Amino acid sequence: MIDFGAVQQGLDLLFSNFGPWLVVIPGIVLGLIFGATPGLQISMAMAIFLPMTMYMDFIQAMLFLTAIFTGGSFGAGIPAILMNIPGTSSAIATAFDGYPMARKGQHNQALGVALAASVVGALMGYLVLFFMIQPLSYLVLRLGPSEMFVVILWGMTLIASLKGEQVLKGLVAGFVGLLVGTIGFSEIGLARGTMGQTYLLDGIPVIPAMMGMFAASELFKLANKGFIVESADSRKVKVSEIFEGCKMAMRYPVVMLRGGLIGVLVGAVPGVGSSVSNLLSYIETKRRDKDPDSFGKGNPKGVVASEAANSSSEGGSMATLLALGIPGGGATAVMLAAFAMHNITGGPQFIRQQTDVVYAIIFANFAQVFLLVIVGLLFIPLLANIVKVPMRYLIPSVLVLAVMGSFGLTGNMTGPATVLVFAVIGWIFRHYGYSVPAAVIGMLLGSLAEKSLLHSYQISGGEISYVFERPVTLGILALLLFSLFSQPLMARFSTWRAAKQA
Amino acid sequence: MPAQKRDYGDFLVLIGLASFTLWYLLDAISVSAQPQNLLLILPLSVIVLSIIAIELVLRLKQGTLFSIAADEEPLHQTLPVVVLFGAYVLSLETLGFDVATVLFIALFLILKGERNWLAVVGFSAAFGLAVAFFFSQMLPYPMTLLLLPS
Repeated sequence: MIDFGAVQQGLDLLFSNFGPWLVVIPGIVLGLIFGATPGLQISMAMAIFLPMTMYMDFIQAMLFLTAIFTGGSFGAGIPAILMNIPGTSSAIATAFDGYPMARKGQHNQALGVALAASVVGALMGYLVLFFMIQPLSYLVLRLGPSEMFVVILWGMTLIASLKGEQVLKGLVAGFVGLLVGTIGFSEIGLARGTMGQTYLLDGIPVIPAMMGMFAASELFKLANKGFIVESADSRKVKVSEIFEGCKMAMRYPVVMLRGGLIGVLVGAVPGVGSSVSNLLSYIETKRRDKDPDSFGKGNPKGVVASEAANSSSEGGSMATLLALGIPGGGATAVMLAAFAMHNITGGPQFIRQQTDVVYAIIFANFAQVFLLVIVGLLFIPLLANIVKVPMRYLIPSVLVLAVMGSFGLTGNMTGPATVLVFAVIGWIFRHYGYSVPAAVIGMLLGSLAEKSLLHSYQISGGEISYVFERPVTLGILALLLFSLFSQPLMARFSTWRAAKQA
Repeated sequence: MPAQKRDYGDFLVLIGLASFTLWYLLDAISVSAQPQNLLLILPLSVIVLSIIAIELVLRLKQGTLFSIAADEEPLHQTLPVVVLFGAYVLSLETLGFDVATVLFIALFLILKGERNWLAVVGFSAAFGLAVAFFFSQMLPYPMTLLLLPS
C-alpha cells in the first residue's frame, strides 16, 4: 500500500532546500484572513494568488495553495462562532453550537475547540490519504449518479429534521430550497424560473443567498441587543481559555474520529465535499448523543463534529484530485488549474509516475497542520476581540462586508440584491420557525441533485428496475427512510411501553 | 400569561411557499414537459404541496390555523433596520459604494442610539471608506465610487 522508496524521495524533495517552506506561513495567514472574512472564499483567495504560483516550482505552488486551504478551513469557523456567519458553507454546522457558546460567554473555549478539532481533523484527513489513496480512488469510482442523488436526499432529510418538533416545516424549507437551487439553465439547456431576467440564467447566486439567510437575517434579530455576549465579564479574550477549549475538544475523541472519517469519505465525493460533511458529522453526533436536545444550545461536541469533518474533507478532496484528476469543489478546482499551469495532469497515471511528489504534498500538509496551531493561536486572540465591539457598530460593519463580499462573488449588483432578498426571507423563516439551514443546503445542492437524477435517468433509460440493481443506492434509501421514520416510531413505541407499564 | 393574539403571518408564509412552488412547477412545464426537465421538479413540487396541505389540515383540526408567531421579537425595532438595509443596497449604484456605505453606517448608529457625533462621523467615514477602498482594489470588477478613486 505504501511505496517506501517514493516516501524517501518525497522527503528529499521537501527537505533538500528551504524554498518550498517559505510560502507555507504566508499561505496559512492568507487562508485564515479570507476564511474568516464573510464573503471572501478560500477558493477566491486561491484564485487571486494562483498567478503567483507561476513563478514557483510545482511542489512550492502546491504547498502554497494547500496552506491557504488549511488556513481557510479553520478560518471559516471563526466568524461562524463569533458572529453566526459561516465564512464558507463548510462551517455551517460550526455556527449551530459555536455561536450559542459565544453568546454564553464561552467564545474563547469555542475557538479553542474549533482549532483543536480542525488540527486533528486535517491530520486525520492526510493520514488517511497517505495510507488509503489507492483504495479511496477505487471507492470514489464506484459511486454513480444514483448513489449521489440518494446521498443528497438523505442529507436533506436529516438536516430538515434537525428541529425535531417542526419536521414538516423543516422538510418544506429544505425541499423549497432544492427547487430554488434548480432555477436557471438546466443540464439539458432549458431556463426555468428566471422570469425573463438574464442574471438568473446561471441560477440564484448561492453564496450571497447563504450570506443573506444566515448572516443578515440573524443580524436583524440581534439589532436590539447591546453586545454578542451580554455579560461584560464574559467578553474577555483569554489565551488560557482558548487552551482550555483545545483540551475540551480532546475529551471527545470518538466525535473527532467519526467526524474525521465522515469528512474524508464525503470530501472525496466530487461536488459534495466539506459543505455536506460538516452537516452529516454534526447530525450523526447529535443523533448518537445521550442528550440530543443540548445541541444547538452551545454543546462543544457540535463544534468538534463540524470542524473535524470540514478539515478532514481537505484530505478526501485531495485524494480525488490526485487520484482521479477530479476537483471536489472550488478550492481543488483552483489546484487543478495550478496542475495545468505546471503541465501536470492528475489521475491514476500521476499517482503511479510521480508518487514521490504525491507523498511530498502529503508530508508538507502534516507540517502545515502543526504550523496552523501556532499561527492560529497567534491570530485567534486578535480576532476574538470582536466580542468586545458593541452590536450597533458590529452589525452595520458585518452587513457592509457581506454586501461588498457578495459583489465580489458576482461582479455586479446581483450579489448585493440577492443578499437583501434572502436576508428578508431568512428573517421571516426565523420568525416563524422554518429551518434556515435546511433551506440553504437545499439551494446549495439543488442543481447537483437534478444533475445526478438526470444522469441516472439517462443511464437507466428511464427503467425504475435500475435502482434495484444498485445495492448501495438501496442501502442509502433504507437509511433515508429509517432516519425519517425512526424518531416518530420510537416515540410511539416509548409511549406505548410507558402506557403498558402503567 | 399574555393574551394570545391572532397572527396571519405564519399562514401567509405557508401560502407564499405553496404559491411559489406551484408557479415554479407551471413555469417549468411551460418551458418543456419532457421528463428530463421535470424529473426532479415535478415530484418535489408534489411533495412540497402535499406537506403544506397536510400542515394546513392539521392546524385547521387543532384550531391553530392563525397561530401566534413562533418568535416574540419586537418587530417595531427590527423593521427599521430591515428597511435601512434595503435602502442601502438599492442606493449602492446611485450613491456609489463609498458614500452609500458611510451613510448606512452613520444612520444605523444613530438609529440604534449612538449620540456621540464624533464617533458616528469618525467610525462611519473611516470604516466605510476603508472597506470600499479595500474591495475596489482587491476585486477585478469596476465598482461605482463617488469620492474614492476608482
